[in-house]
Order: sequence, then C-alpha cells, then structure tokens
Amino acid sequence: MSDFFQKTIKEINQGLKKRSFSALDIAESFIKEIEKNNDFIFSLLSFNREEVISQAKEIDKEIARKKDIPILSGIPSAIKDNILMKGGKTTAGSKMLENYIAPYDATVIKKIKKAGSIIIGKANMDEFAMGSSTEHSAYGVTRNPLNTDLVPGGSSGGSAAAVAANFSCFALGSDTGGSIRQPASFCGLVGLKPTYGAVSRYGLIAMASSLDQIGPLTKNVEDAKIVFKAISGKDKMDSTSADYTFKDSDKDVKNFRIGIPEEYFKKGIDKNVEEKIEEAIVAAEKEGFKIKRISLPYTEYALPVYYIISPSEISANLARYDGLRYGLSKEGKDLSERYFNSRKDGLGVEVKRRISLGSYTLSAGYYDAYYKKAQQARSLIINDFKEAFQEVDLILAPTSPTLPFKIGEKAKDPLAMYLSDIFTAGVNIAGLPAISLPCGKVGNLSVGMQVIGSYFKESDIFKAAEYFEKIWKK
Amino acid sequence: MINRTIIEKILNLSKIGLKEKEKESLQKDLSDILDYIEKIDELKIKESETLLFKIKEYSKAREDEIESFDNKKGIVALFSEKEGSFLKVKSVFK
Repeated sequence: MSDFFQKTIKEINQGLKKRSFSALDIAESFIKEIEKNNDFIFSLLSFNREEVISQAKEIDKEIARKKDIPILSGIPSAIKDNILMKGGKTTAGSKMLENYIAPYDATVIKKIKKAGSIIIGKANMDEFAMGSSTEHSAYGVTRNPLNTDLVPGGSSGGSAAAVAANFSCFALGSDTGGSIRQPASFCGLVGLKPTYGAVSRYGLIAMASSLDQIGPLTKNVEDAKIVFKAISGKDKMDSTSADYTFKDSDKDVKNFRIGIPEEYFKKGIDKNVEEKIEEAIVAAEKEGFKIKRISLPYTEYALPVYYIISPSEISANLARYDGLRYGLSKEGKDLSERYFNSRKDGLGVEVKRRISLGSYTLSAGYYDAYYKKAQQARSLIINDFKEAFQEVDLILAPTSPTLPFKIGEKAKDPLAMYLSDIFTAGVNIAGLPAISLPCGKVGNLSVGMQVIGSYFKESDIFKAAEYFEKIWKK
Repeated sequence: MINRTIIEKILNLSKIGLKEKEKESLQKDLSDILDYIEKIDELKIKESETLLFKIKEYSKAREDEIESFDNKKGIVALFSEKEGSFLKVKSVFK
C-alpha cells in the first residue's frame, strides 16, 4: 500500500470516509518504512508501534460509527522533540532533558490530536533548535533521505527526514531563523514558517522568544495549508498568539504583484541554486505573473542582527536549566557549583557557544553596542519589508544559498554553519510568514524557493504557492 | 580577538563550566562570530529615526484566571530533590 506516500491529506481523508482503506492500513505502511529505515536515517528519537496501532484501530472504530471524521483523522505525524507531549519524553535533542517527561500537552499537540492525527513519534533536532544540519543533536546525526551522505538541514532536520522518508505524512517543526524552511528545502518538501503570533507556542521549549514559531512540513502546499489551519489561532496560554482565523484567499492568483529582491542574488549563492531560482522566476513570468525587481536595502544586516538577538534571548531563556527543577542535575558543594556542573554536563558545544555569545552581547558595557543596536537595526529591516509590501503582494527569494552539504562538512566551522540562515533569518527578524517549496532540481536534490507574504497573509502565500507548485513541477 | 579575561567573565555569567581546551576554542569561535556581527557598526542609526523593536504590538494582556493544573505530580516528579511536594535546594545564604 505504498501509494499512501503519494496521497495528499485530503485524498487519504476521502479514502477513509469511503472505506477504500482503513487507518490501520495507513499506519502499517508508514510503520513498515520506520522499521526498515529509521535506524539508518535516524529521524525519529521515539516510536511506539503498539501505541500507533491502537490509535489507528480507535480511528477505524470512529469511522465505523460516524459518517464524518476530522481532516487529520488517521494521518500519521512526526513531532519535533522540542514540543511537549504529556507523559512522553521531550528531550529537545539535549542530554540536559534526556529524562524529562512532559507534564502537559503543547497547544499544537492538543489541536492535532483533536483533529485526529496519529502521532507516530518525536523527531530528532539540533540541540535546543540551534543548528542548520541536525548534527548538533546529543543523540546522533539525522541523514537526508534524498542522499544519505548529506545533512537534512536543521534544526527541524528529523521532522523533514520523517516526511521525506515516508515515516509520517506530515511533521511539525519550529523555525527561529529558518529551521523549518531550510530542512524543507534540503529534503524536497514544503515548509511553512507562520506569521509571529499565528500559532501558539504554549508547550514549545523556548529558544529565542521574539523569533520562534511552530509550523508544518509536508509533501505539498495543500497539506501545509490543512495542517496550518488545524494548529493556528488564539490561545490564552500564549499571550503573543493573535486573534486570527485562517480563511482561504478568493483573490485571482494572477493579480498578485510579485517582488524579487535584488539583495538576495548578490553574493554567497551557489551557482546551481541561483540558476534554478532564476528559471523558476522566468517560468512564473511566462505564466503572466507581474514580476517586479525590488530592493530590501538592509538585507545584509539581517543575519548579523539575528546572531545578536537570538543568542541574547537564548542566554536568558536557557538560564532555566539550573539542575534543580527539571533536567540533568549534578551535585555541587553549593548552589552555584550545582549550576555549573549540571550545565557543563548537560549542554552541548553549540548551545554553550550561543549562551556565551548572548551573555556577552547582553553584558554591562556591551549591551548598547550589540543588543540595543541590533534591536534598532531590526526596526530598519521591518521597515524594509513594510515598504516593499506597499509595492508588491508577495516576495520570492531562495531558501538556502546552497544545496544540502555533506555530513561533517561544516560541523567544525560555526560561522559557515550560521551562513546557512542568510536568506531565511530576515523573515523571523520581521515576524513575517514564508513558505519554502521545491522550485527545481539539481540531480535528485531539490532547490527551495521562499514565498514571503505580509503579516497574516498566509492565505495569499498558499494561493500563490499552490499555483507555483504546478508550474515548477513541469 | 576577544581576550581571556572576558571569556572567563562570560562563562561565569553563563554559569557554564568548560575545560581548558574548550575555552581556547570558544575564544576563537566567539572572536570570528563577533567580527561578523560587528557589521552592524556600519549602520549610522539616529535614536530619533528608529524605535526599539517591541513585541508589544502583537501581544495583549488578559485578566489572570486561577485554574488548577491537572498534573502537579508530573511537575514534582521532575524535581532534583524534594520534600513532600516542595523543591529542595541548597541554602543560598551561608
């Protein structure tokens, strides 16, 4: 029954309603792939066969009782391991949380459970979501299912690999500087970073709170829309969540004015990637889209700003790992020594690096030069986008400057790894929504294009992306 | 290049213990990263031109509501040391 892997969520839902197949059939075909390949791909950190089977049987009973079932009924999902699921381990890819049992469900988990999804397991990730390759997990490296010598991207690399390897139909990830879009691009998938505030972060282990968002990774744009619809909306447990209800766009897709920012093509972009991006833009133009070259003058400051604001917030957020209330705890002669010992053994190299960087940029004497200035620069970057969205409705830009790189290639050079976020971080800095979808191929590897929209314009993004998906597949 | 005294100060602020070799590599990595992020020095920003970014425009406060959490046991179970349902820590004052 491997044809489940090609089906959209809607098609599976219709098949279930018509009793063409059962939820158990679906679960078993995904389980087969997990049992065959997860040891090598190492996408899932946890997987409980019996639990999945019993959930599928429950769904089948429900289908037998009722005519209508929610849209995600029986749809297998993988969840990035920084999202809390009550009663199960949530490690965030860190030794610090190796034995942490989540005491409650994240809001997104409650929502997808209510919509019927079968959560197949927790997905590997860079420790505390810091990284662009999933090589920084304390539990091992995830491989890219398209080419297992390569990284799947990160930090939601386990989530992306789960969907690409047919371990789950969709996955949830989190995106602080590109951590959904870049792995989606590397694994040939669709990944959405929603508008800041569109999805509740209650139960998401915090990294950088002014940037973090939860979003879906899927095989097609329609699935991303369905999952986004299921997880978005106001939540009283997250004061940054917005009063927002998703509605499909009824606009004529060809009326969208599309902007191409020249700054994204200046330097650092791989020739193979640039060629495919240019071809995709030409294809859109041929279809009659109004394409306009635009300028986002502060683009080159987005990544430096990101690498000040994000570590600063990380250093504050990760102060909670004190070896007392939860997480790894190591003895010490006094309270202070206990902090030092627990953090020394519990946190990995990259996490220590970012906490140190953040402590520095927030410390007395340096705060004005780094953090304050970065916050001011942030408002310039926001203005750039706001002005651009006066002239255009959507912006197209490459997702990653390179194709997926080899495992180990950038692991020892933190700055080279940071540059992976160069085209994605600006969107988080501004709080905007953006989707990444495949726009061309180099060999069997995929090149991802971002469609960036204005605040809470996910509906426009989906509308255009569904169209682009068809023309870029040709 | 960021100096060793600053590295020690940062590690102390961060409550992170590192081995000697790790300190050396942190010193080099942070220096490289700072060289990169200091690009923002090029920006001439007048205070009057820009406002500090605030999350405020997204968030609205609500009235506090008292609700009992249904899994207190689950939280207490995570404590490193406990007495009854209290978290036990070493004394702060000597």
